Amino acid sequence: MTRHPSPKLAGYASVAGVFLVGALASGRPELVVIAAPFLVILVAGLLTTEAPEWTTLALDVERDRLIEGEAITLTVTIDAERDVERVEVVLPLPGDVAVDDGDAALAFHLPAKRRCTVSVRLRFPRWGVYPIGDVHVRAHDRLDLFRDDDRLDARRPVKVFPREEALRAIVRPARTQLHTGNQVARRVGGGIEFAELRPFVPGDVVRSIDWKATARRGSPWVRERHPERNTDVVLFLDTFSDVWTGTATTVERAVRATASVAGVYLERRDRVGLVSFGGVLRWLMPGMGIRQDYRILEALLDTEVALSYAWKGIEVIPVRTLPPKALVLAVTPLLDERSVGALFDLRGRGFDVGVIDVSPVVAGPEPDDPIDRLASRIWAMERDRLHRDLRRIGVSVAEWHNGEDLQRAVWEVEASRRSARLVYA
Amino acid sequence: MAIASAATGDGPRLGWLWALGLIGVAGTAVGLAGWAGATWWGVIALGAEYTVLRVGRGPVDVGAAYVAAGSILVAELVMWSLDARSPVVERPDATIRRLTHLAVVALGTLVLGSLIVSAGRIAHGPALTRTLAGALCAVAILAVVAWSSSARTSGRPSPDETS
Repeated sequence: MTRHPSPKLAGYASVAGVFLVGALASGRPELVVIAAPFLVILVAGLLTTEAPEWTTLALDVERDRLIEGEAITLTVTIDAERDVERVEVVLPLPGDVAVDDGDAALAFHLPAKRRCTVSVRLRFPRWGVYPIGDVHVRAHDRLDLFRDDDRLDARRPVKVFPREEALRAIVRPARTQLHTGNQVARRVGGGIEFAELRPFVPGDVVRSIDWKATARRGSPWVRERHPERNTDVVLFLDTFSDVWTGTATTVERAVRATASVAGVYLERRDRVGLVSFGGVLRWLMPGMGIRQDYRILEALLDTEVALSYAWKGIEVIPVRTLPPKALVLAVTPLLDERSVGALFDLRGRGFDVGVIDVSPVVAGPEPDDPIDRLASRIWAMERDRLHRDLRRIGVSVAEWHNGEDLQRAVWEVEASRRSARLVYA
Repeated sequence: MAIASAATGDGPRLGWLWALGLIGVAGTAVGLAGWAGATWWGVIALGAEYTVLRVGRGPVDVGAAYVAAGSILVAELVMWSLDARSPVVERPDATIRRLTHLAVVALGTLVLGSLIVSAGRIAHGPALTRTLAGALCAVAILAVVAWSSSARTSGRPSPDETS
């Protein structure tokens, strides 16, 4: 606890001193009358002041993991041995946290040995990690000549996970892995999905004979099936640039989309990895299950745009992060040459690549200024050309505008992949 | 005060009264604007103006108690307004206690001022009365100091208890 004098202490002493000297100099007792209350308050304050003794000073955070948009209650409990004339409890908050109910800075009188609580309900509109719990307490003495500052550093990270969008369908990888999953493999083997009929050969299991076809054709025929396998998906998050798009930035939207897509793949028992490609490179090896889901979410919470001019290609990404036959699903605004180059390289190395283009274009009327209008048109043309170039090398791209349903973009990527398969088959 | 003085036509002091009055108002205004240190210069200037007004005008003025109450209220209110600018929200109980504090301070100043004014008038009376008044004041001061000291130490545990 730190004690420091209030501005009143020096002020009252100065006023009393000047008036008393003035009274002696001028011989006017009126100045003594004016000085008297200042002097009395000063003396009384100095004689009676005491630092408060907190019996209880605690902070309770309702929970430390929540989804963006949710609210939690923080409660500060304070109790003192002696009466405290005025207590100020201040809870510094990060800029984008909204106060739903209560006050984050409150002043009140604290009677002796009576517990007081200050509750504030906070709403977190954006995903991220918020260190909450640095409580500043200031006690004023009865005559407000001294102030005692105390601090309860009960900071703990409140993790706000991105809100996941409901996705009914996702981009299906072209190739499957060996483990059992929900993805129907192209090859035939033990499974549920019907693949084809073929004549019986020695060694076939009798159970696989299709009796109807056998009866029709007069010789034994067996039923082939597609096995259900899992797949490897690497989510490629571009954090080189961030652009405000009306209600959110491209990185905010990209993180939400990545979290949503990762959740759906993991529910299907696929292995999901993450590469956050930006000024700072972060990666997560592909994995399965709910633990991997939390690993991905926690990795996404640390996402930030780090300004860097250094050229980076996919050679900086650890090889094991990109397993063979994996689907690389990029979530990017396609603004930085380095990330665009990386996508071309990945495709060139034979990876199955899909792109959800987190559109940085803000919907609205065309600019009034002819130069701005021209620049806007040139930019739109360049983006169209980039989309065409990506599609030409077999990368399916869908543009996802702010406010649009993510499912539409996912469907578009999947549809263009299906048609591409037909063309190249 | 300056206006009242101008109305009375007190020529030689008029400049001083105006100057001190303006300094007082300006100091208070600057204090309200955020620099608390200027408030005290404002209060001092207003007190000095009152003194200039009273110099050479007979015995102690009864109105001095009101001037004292006004001065301390100005200082307290400026401090309150500065506190009110912080983002801290005051609960009603804290506001009521502060208002009560202001009322007590104003009333106490009036009582104290009246006592000092009365003492000032006694100063022109017989020597025995002055001696008695002085002794009473000394005893009262000692009583206040003794009470304050006992109030400070009463809540602390004795050395035996702590050991």
